[in-house]
Amino acid sequence: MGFPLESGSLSDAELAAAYRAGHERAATELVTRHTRAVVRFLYSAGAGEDEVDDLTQEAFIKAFGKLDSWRGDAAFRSWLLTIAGNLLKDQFRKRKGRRMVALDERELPDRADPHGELAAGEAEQQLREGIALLPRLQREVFLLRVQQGADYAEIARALDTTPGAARVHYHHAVKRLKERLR
Amino acid sequence: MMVKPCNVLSDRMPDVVSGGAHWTPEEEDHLSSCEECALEWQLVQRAGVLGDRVAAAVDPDAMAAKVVERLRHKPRVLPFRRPGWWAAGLAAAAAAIVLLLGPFGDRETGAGPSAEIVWLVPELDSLETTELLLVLNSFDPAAPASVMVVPFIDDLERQELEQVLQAWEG
Ligand SMILES: [Zn+2]
Repeated sequence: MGFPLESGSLSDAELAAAYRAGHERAATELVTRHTRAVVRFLYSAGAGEDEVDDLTQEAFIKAFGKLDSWRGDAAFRSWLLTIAGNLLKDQFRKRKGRRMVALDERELPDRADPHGELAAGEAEQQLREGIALLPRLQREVFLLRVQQGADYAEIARALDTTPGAARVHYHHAVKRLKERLR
Repeated sequence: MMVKPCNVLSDRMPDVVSGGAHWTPEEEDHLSSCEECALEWQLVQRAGVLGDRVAAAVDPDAMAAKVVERLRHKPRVLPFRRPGWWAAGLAAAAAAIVLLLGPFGDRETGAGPSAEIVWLVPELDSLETTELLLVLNSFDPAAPASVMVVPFIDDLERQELEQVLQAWEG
């Protein structure tokens, strides 16, 4: 099977098939295409800035290692994010139950603007903390819905649940997070 | 049945924040007068851009280079579709062989690990965490057979949870 120079025009499923057929460049394209989504997902869900790079790499390695189990019914990105979510769950365990690393100087914006950026940084940290403390399904449904714009049917396929259950998880997550904002 | 406007807005918020939909003038009015919806909209907007700064700082090409480099050196393993107890058992047996033979190959000849044994060990990383813990527990002579580590029960996958419950119930 030939591999087109314009791999950017191929769908995720076509790239996955090309990778299985031995085309390394298909892996390059898939990683390039989805890296930022994985990073946003992991960071939003409680990964530290210093953990995000390694976890993202691991998520891709794990995904390519079990590409045969991606049935193509869920979008590749949603499936990939659930793998990242699984790795983050293990990371939480490694931290002996702490779902958020202590407020890290490196994760706060430059202190040159203490009024604006610092406050924004703290608000961001507070929201991440709230998301990290959600039960796993609530956390992942919420982020898939809000950041990826995935609908409940799509989320249900990725998380192996039903659209109705996904909707309930989303509303529970929203309720808990709103409480933290009050 | 009349659906509450708050529920309609709540359902539409993720689509509006992603740019896939827009508020109608009536919805805008509701947002400016309903405290609950305003709070939720604030939450969804903030969550929608959460992580953008960190994601923008990552170079996807560099990430791809690192991943592809690792894939080149990763031994290809046979796919384990839906690993279950049989997979954990097989991995445990494989690891037991490694332990019996010694992890670094034939001690008498001093030869390196045989290709077959090296091939079997990476299978362990295809196991889910719970399965891996169970396999590891089975090697710990100090651990009673019934000991299981079950942190964050609400975080377990449904499949993992079923396995844990089945093990508890015998
Ligand atoms: Zn309302």
